[in-house]
Amino acid sequence: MHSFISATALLTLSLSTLPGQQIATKTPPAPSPHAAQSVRYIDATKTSGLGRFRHVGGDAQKPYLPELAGSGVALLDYDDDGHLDIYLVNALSRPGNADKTDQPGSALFRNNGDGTFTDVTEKAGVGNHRWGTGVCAGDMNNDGHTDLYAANLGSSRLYRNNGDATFTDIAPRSNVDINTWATGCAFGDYDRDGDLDLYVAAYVNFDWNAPPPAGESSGAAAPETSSATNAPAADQPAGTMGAAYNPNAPFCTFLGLRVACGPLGLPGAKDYLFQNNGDGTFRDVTKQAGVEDAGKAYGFSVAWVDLDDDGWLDLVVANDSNPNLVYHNQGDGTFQEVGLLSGLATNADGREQAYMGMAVGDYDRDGRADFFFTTFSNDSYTLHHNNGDIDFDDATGPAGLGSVTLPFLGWGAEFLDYDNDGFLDLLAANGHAYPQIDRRQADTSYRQRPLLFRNIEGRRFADIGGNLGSAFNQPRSSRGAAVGDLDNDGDIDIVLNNLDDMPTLLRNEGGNRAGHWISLQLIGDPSQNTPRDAIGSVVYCQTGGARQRGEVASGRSYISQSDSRIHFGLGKAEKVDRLQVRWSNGKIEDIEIPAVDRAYIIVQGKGIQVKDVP
Amino acid sequence: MNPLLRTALVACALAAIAQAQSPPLDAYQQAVAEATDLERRGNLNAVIEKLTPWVAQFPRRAEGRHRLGIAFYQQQNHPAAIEHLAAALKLEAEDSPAWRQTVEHLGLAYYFSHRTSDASPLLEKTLQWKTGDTYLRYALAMCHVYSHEPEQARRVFAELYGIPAESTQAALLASHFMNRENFSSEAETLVRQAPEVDPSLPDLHYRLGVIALTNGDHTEAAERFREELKRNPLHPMAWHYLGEAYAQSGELEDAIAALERAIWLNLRNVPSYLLIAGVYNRRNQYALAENALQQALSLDPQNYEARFLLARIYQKTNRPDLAKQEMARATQLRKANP
Repeated sequence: MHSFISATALLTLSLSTLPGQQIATKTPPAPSPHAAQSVRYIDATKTSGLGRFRHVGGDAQKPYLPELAGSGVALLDYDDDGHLDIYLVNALSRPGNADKTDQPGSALFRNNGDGTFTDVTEKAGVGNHRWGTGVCAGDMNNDGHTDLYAANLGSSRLYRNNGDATFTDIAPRSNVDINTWATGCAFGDYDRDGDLDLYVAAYVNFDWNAPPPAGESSGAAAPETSSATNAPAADQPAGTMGAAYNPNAPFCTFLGLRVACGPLGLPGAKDYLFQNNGDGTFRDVTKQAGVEDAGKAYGFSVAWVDLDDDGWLDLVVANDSNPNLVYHNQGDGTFQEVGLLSGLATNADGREQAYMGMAVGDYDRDGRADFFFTTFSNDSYTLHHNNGDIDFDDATGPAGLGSVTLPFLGWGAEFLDYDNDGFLDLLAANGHAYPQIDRRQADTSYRQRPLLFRNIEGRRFADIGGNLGSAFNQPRSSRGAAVGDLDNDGDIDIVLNNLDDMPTLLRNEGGNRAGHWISLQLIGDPSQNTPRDAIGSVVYCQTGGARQRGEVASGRSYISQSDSRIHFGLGKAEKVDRLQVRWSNGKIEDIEIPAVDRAYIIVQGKGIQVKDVP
Repeated sequence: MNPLLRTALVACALAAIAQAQSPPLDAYQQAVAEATDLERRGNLNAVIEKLTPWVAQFPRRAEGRHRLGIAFYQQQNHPAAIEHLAAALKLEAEDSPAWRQTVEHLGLAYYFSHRTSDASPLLEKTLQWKTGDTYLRYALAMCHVYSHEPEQARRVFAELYGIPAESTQAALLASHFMNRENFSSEAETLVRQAPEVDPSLPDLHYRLGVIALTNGDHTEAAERFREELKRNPLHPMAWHYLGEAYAQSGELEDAIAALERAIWLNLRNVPSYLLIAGVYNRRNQYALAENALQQALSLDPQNYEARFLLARIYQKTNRPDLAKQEMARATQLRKANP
């Protein structure tokens, strides 16, 4: 339920920065008594070598919408050595959709297993060199090697992993080289035929050759005194979405500032569902499957999730400034859109929000997948509790996530158990859309600290930024975010892809001592109609009276991809009482876990093998 | 030819050329007069169309700038209004009627453009001759709110509501507006630092409760609303927000009890019906939630939120056709009033 006070707060217009004033988006709160003792995040960006990457996204003042949207990041083990590698998506320093090999492209960093990473982009052949937006990973041809889909503004690419640490772009011959503003994507086997299908969300029909009016750019002085007609009145809402495009106005404004136009007022772009033909090609089944996105909503992040645990993967698309799309899989190759009635498309009041990032996880350990969305500033991020039967309630206020998130503008979002206590905590990567905002609004800022909320026994969340160390709390313009155990030490690290900046690698220090854990890599059997990388499979882990749910997933967060291994924090439990795998083909297997604090590979029908990670 | 005569002839020729090339001033003045007439008849587009080229040719003439700026202001094109009125302000004679009009409209244009520190001195000046203008005073007070000047805000709000600036009531007033704009810490400071705070002052605890609720401190909020209600149990909004504080804390039974009291004191308070429906929903008491929503809709049939929630209740209670019908009506309302 949303607060009427919060509704009033949506009308917030806070202007004129007060010197010395502490801004919640920059300054963490005092240390929280709810945080785990002695768990910190260390900034390992430079020492790891990841600092050699620098994201570029057009003009620093962001006159056009693509320049402020940033890019995603993927964690995947591309060379099958047991260590997570990092793929950082890049845009371009100037507009254009053609191949720009003279510009820094996306980058693949190989994990050397010693805390350092090596840029292997050129050898791997995944530079992209286009206006890169999102990314997702999956073994689309069941050959045991993880492939990559790079979503672009322009023509998107499908990089097939050749199994020898190189990739080949097969997008054109695979029929997935769509030319649109693709954003989020996710692999999932919606038809349960044992191979991965692909959904790609798209945002706005944007043409660099005929763009909407430019916002303020680095080359031009702030033209606040030029003609414009859509400056909002001071005592009207600032808006919880971006600056709407008005064809009758010479440019777009937000709080009287000339900024990039859109997405509101601009034509939305249609999404795509590609069915895997099983031979390395795909076919566009968007229309026949009933996922046409008829309203052409501004799509960002994508998740395949079995919302009602009927064994069929459903589909959720987080839309900026539109209701989310919630497609219920009918089990016959078609879907029914049930967003508004499900309660997952809007907040409790039925109001759409500027949904950017999407986290999926069972935060209250009731066995069902819950959702968390990041949104625009002056609006709270939203937590949706899954009641079963595709019925969700907005649990934001009762979970303590309402007021505290109001000044933040969020992108990347993930559930992670940072302290291995057995409850999923929440990460949000933040940064305002408009660099100009620092001239106007005192209670927010362009660069913002990330948020980590600790889950208090599945009921409430507490901002524990004050407990995590100064490295964690640096204000940044973060967009993509992914989580995973990069050093295989039993706790969850974080990678942020920051707009116009180097990325951030936050290494978890102490999480593995705060609680026991297990890590699971699932290998499915395609001959039994389970994709080899087991995307869509669900694992239930029982310790004492607690039963956690984890799943192998592709996509999510903000147009990003996290570790596809399942990590369970176990708290003080020194043994797993029961571990049950529901493979994506619907078969259920009970697995005996011999010891905790270990990583395992579970092969469908063949049980577990202890993973020997160097 | 005599060199002097030659020089004189050249000078005359140049002057004639210059006169022929420059637009005639009387034509400019005629255009301004026509624009004034057009403005009187409400044809602002024509004013702008007529004056824009003349102002480009006579950028340092006040009349054209002034009229053009006022026309843009009336079209709510505040950046353009600022451009021309700021120029006019420098050209007009101080305290002339035109200058006064420029000061007022430029101040308001700054206000609507969120340039509050630019707006404040102009609005303050305007109030010297428009002493009874409540909207100007409200705008000035809000400029102080947005500029984080709580003491100035208190002074102007006190003037607006006709109470002494140093009174505790003035602090409460300013606090209300600071909190409305989400400056809750300053709002709280205003109340707590007010001189001679009398704990029995009407609304004191209510205001503090609202601030606490804005801050997400539901325990403190509930405590404050209870304090207020000890003094004034007939305060429906205090009961309403007490219910909200309880609901946010997960104390659903107490929330229902408070919201029922709010409704009984004001049977027409739609937000209380919506809130109690939400609490019933959380308790899986769908029939009661439905009833509360029907009550809300009987008072306000065009209420989108009530229709949306009712559709969700129908869906939860396995009435899919009704749910779809109701959601379609809600969606129509939303489209009509986004």
